[in-house]
Amino acid sequence: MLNKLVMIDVFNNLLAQSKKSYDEFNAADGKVGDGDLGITILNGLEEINNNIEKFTDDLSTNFMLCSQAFVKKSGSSFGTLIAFSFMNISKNLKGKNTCDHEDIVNIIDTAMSTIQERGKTKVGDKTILDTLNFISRNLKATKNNINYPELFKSSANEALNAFKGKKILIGRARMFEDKTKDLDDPGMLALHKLCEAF
Amino acid sequence: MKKIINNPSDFVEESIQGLVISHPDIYSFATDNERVIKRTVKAKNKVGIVSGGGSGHLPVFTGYVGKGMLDACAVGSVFASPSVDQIASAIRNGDNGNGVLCVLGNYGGDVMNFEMACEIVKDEGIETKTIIVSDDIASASSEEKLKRRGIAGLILAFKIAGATAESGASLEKVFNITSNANSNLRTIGVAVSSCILPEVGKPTFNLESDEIEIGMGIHGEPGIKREKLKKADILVDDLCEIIFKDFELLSKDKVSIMINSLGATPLEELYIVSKRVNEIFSKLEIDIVKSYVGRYATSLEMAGMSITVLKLNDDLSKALLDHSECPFWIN
Repeated sequence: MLNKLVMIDVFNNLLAQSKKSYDEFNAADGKVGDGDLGITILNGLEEINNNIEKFTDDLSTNFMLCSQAFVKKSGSSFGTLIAFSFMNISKNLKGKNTCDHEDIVNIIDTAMSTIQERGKTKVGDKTILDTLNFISRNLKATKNNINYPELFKSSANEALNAFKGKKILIGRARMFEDKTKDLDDPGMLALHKLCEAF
Repeated sequence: MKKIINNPSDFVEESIQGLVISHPDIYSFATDNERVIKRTVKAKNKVGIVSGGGSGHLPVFTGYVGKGMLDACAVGSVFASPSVDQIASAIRNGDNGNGVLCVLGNYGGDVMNFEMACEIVKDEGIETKTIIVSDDIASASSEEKLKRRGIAGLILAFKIAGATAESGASLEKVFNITSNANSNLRTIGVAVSSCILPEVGKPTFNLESDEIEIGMGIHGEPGIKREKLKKADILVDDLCEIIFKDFELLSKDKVSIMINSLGATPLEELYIVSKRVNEIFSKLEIDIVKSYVGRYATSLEMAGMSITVLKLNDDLSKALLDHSECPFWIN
């Protein structure tokens, strides 16, 4: 179950992981983009953790704080999509102090629909959306005795492996055609690493 | 990393503070947002022209605030979009009561944040229209021109929009003329060395001492091909060929040319490029009405240059040659 204390714990761990993977994220992004993904993720997560004492029992408030943190500190496309996702998740969790399985599925699906709509991308383009798709699919397929951290980790890993050898079909990276077959999408790689923090 | 800075985290704030202090007659901070720069003397009764984008590209974006150019600009962190709040503030500050044209580069964060900011100010009664500049030939095929990124062509779009707005044209007309400029803009660049993000401290990419990269993005995104360094004339011939393959230019056409340093490349090298570009265009009897040679859209200390061509009609020629007042523009 997700509640305030779990959220605090998750964001503490995500920050530690983003520091550990900072250079790796920047380097992965530098191969197809502008090389600032590590900065984007670290700045956003640092700002969330700087405001973590403002977290309340109301999960909607907490996700809105997360959105504001990314708005303030992470203006790249990736950071903006994360900010919009947190904002829409916040709207859907009004009045909730805990999240059950269905809510967690909804959180992932909300992030997916936000990224699809705002980022003008689709499943199969080899982006973070595909990792979320694997997580969503596996969440929906598992009903009982769910080990969420393990499910997130294995799904992100599954997604990363499933797209090895496939081209990135969106953003500037799509111009590099076959060269991107040998590269992980930086967003997918980042989510895979961050899931290890759960 | 060798940079003349204090702290990487203060890079943006200190540079824009220096910009405003150095040119107080042109630039002022907005009173409601420290990441928004507006004209010191506010315009009246004209369409507002607003832009915004990441830092690290000066004079783009903020440097082009001034009479006949931008009314206000939102300043993002290095290579990152300004936030929705900052953009909304820039639109409010740039509004002179006749609507606002937003002119921005085609980058995911900028496009998404401008979209949302325009929705916010619409509820406050400010009408906006948006031009997403897409001149970078290397970033998408000609069939997907609208997906191309905005690079040095942005400045010519600012100039066209700014001058047209200054003439008293309606928002619709400013939009149409700037849109036409965007359709007739093409840029291709080449990098010879990388930039270093202050907060990263290492080059974004590595090029061997005898290598160049054609089509490098303005944030150091990989280009379309890596080649051995070659003589300037041969390089310019190759780049012009890429432009001509993408863009039909005929004898007697009128164009403006911008030879832009990506940061570290000196004027002498730019003029060597300009000489060759003029020779090529002259041979084809294409009339270069106006040339711009200098540092217009940079990528920190990246070395390299870009060539921009704007095909002109009467409206575009007039707007381009109209007077403007900005420290980084010569007419």
